[in-house]
Amino acid sequence: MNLWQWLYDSTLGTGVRDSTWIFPFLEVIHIYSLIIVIGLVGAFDLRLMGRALQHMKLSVVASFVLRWILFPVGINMVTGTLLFMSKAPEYSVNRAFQVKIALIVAGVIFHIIILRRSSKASDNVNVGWAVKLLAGLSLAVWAGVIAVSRWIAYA
Amino acid sequence: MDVTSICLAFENAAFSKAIIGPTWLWPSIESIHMIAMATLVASISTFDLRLLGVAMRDVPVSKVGDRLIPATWAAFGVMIVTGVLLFLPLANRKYCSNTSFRIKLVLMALAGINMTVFHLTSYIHVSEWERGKTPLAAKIVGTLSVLLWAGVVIAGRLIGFV
Repeated sequence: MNLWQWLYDSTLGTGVRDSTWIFPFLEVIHIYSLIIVIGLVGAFDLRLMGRALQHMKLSVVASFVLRWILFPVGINMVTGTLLFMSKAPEYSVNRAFQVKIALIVAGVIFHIIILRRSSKASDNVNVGWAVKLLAGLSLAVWAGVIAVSRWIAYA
Repeated sequence: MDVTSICLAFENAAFSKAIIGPTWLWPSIESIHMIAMATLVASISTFDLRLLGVAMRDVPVSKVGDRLIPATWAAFGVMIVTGVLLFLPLANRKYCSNTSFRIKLVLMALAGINMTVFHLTSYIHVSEWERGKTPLAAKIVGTLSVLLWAGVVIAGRLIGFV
């Protein structure tokens, strides 16, 4: 049996799908936690680009983001997985959803690497142009995540 | 003229037909609306968390405000423009009688009043307290602001359901 169908038929997938309020409830939490996550990584990207929080040490900003981001990321992943399970066969072939997952993977890899390295950076570290460029791209990627999320309903 | 006929007039305007015409346009405006919303809620809540003493305690409140308020207004402007563009073509069909939409408007109005009160009271003499403890009144404003904007996000998402 195919994995998406198995998730769809699972107790959790069925429960989310059959309830009138669980799906919207999860979606609300999913969106609010996404705002917190993107707010944190977006602020960090702006710090890397030299556009914000310049008075704070890079390592301090990175440690702050790492400390506060794990909980909303966890909430976002759990709610996202439950939402996905309820309509897995449909979402898995949805073009906007596929693009969304690709963008998230790219953004998450970038931030895991850059946040961990930045949290150990020396106080007078100079952010190179390549990292600044990647930070700008990262902002675009996260804006793209929001944009394509809305498109899942239309794709 | 009652509300329904006004909403119908919005919906039937040539301008509204132009927005709803191409299948890609309305969803694209919605995407921009969501990006602006994330920017707005993130920047306002960051300022609120500073007020509450949760984040950036060593930075004076007015400095955080000076940096965030312009971005907040820019995002708010984009939200209003895209929000009106989204509203008009579906005014009668989707929004005017939608409970979540009405709640969203009320919460936005309350958030606006909350912010105005803050700017007319505590924030006027911010230099007296911004390096020490935030006065209770300003903490209440910050808490209300976080909650009201979360409510706006929640009610906004629920328009499609209730």
